[in-house]
Amino acid sequence: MRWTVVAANLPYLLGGLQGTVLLGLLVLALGTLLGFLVGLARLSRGVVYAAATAFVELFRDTPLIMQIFFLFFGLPAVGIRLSAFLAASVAMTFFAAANTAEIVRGAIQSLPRGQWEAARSLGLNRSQTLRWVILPQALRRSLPPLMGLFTTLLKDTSLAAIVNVFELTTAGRRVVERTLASFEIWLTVAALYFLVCYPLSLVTQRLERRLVAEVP
Amino acid sequence: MSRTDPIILLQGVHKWFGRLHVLRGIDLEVWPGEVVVICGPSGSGKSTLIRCINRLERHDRGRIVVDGIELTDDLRHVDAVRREVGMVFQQFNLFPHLTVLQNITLAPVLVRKWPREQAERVARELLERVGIPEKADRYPSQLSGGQQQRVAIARALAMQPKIMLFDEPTSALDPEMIQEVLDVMRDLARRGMTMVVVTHEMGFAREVADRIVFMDEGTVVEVAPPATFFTSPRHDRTRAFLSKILR
Repeated sequence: MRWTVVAANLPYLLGGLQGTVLLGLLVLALGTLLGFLVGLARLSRGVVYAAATAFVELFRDTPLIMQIFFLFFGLPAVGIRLSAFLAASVAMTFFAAANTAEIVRGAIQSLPRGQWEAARSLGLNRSQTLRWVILPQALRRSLPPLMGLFTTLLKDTSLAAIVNVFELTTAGRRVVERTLASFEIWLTVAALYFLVCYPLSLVTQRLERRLVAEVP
Repeated sequence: MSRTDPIILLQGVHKWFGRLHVLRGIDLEVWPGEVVVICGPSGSGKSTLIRCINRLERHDRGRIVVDGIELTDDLRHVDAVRREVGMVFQQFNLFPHLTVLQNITLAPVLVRKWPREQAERVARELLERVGIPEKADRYPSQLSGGQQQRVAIARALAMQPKIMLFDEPTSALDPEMIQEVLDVMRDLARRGMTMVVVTHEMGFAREVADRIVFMDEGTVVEVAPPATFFTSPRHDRTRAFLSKILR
């Protein structure tokens, strides 16, 4: 075992980790925002509903890796060239949005109908009911599954490595190619992913316990 | 009290759930200040009827006029009616993420545009009236069923409605909590509130109702003041129902 290789390349790997975290945060921020809007659109009717549904089904029912391939390798055929970073982050944002939308919609529809009825019978209109009664409860309910989605997404940023975006997995591969220290480097890369994702999992579990305790 | 116009008017109201014909031509008038109790076997359409009055259910045929406003697809009319009609549900339907005080002040602040201090003052007065002023800052899950239902009544009253609808308000309560809710409703009736109450509490009906409506299979079978209703009902179906419910 050549652990000195790890020490020598750790700064480079940490640079990759930085790329992972930045990509992750970007995707989470944009994906959650977009997903929230799409989730609300799924509660309306007509064209808006149809478009939102098509979006959700399209990006939930195809593998993320295919979406990245399509944006990066497929689109140039019709004259649209995206950088690897842009292709990966757009695909991941849409993937995150489609999943967030389903979590938000599910949480809203899991609330008892009596909540709507009580608010409407008090004279609140639809948007007031949504804003003050439904969403505050739905967001609490969707927090644990959203955190779970965040953890998954953070790990899935490693898929960006296949189009050579610089993040932790790409950094690991380059070091391995140079040093041939597969065992030590991949173990280190795995440990770095774990160090970021494990605390997220812990927070998720604590949130779940707390929310279960508070809403009987 | 001038008996000029009924405050609630139903004419030939029909309602279908898919192929199920749940209301089959209901005619009913409720006068200002009146307490009307609706009873009948389950599935008779009584809950659907009361839910049509504030359009939680949409009627398919006939007319419903509440406080001079006809309920149509025009949402402004629906909102106008809902502001004047309070409703209390079997399952309370309090907002679990808000405190008792916030539950009560939400609608007056958002809909009536009252300043927060005014809404809170009224809310505390109402909590006093329903007997639980000390629970203002609790969450619904920290209250007993009876207390929750009293908060729900206070929440509806905070909008200062002209009419209160009660949809089986004591059916989900443990027996020992039923009276505290009925006491609040009695007090409300004594103060002259117009009330339409769906309930199986025949003691309450006998004591408080001006008229009792007996429904069966989507129709109004019999309407009578309590004295007549309990002692000499005219219809066999009413008699059969009463013999089951009053043992």
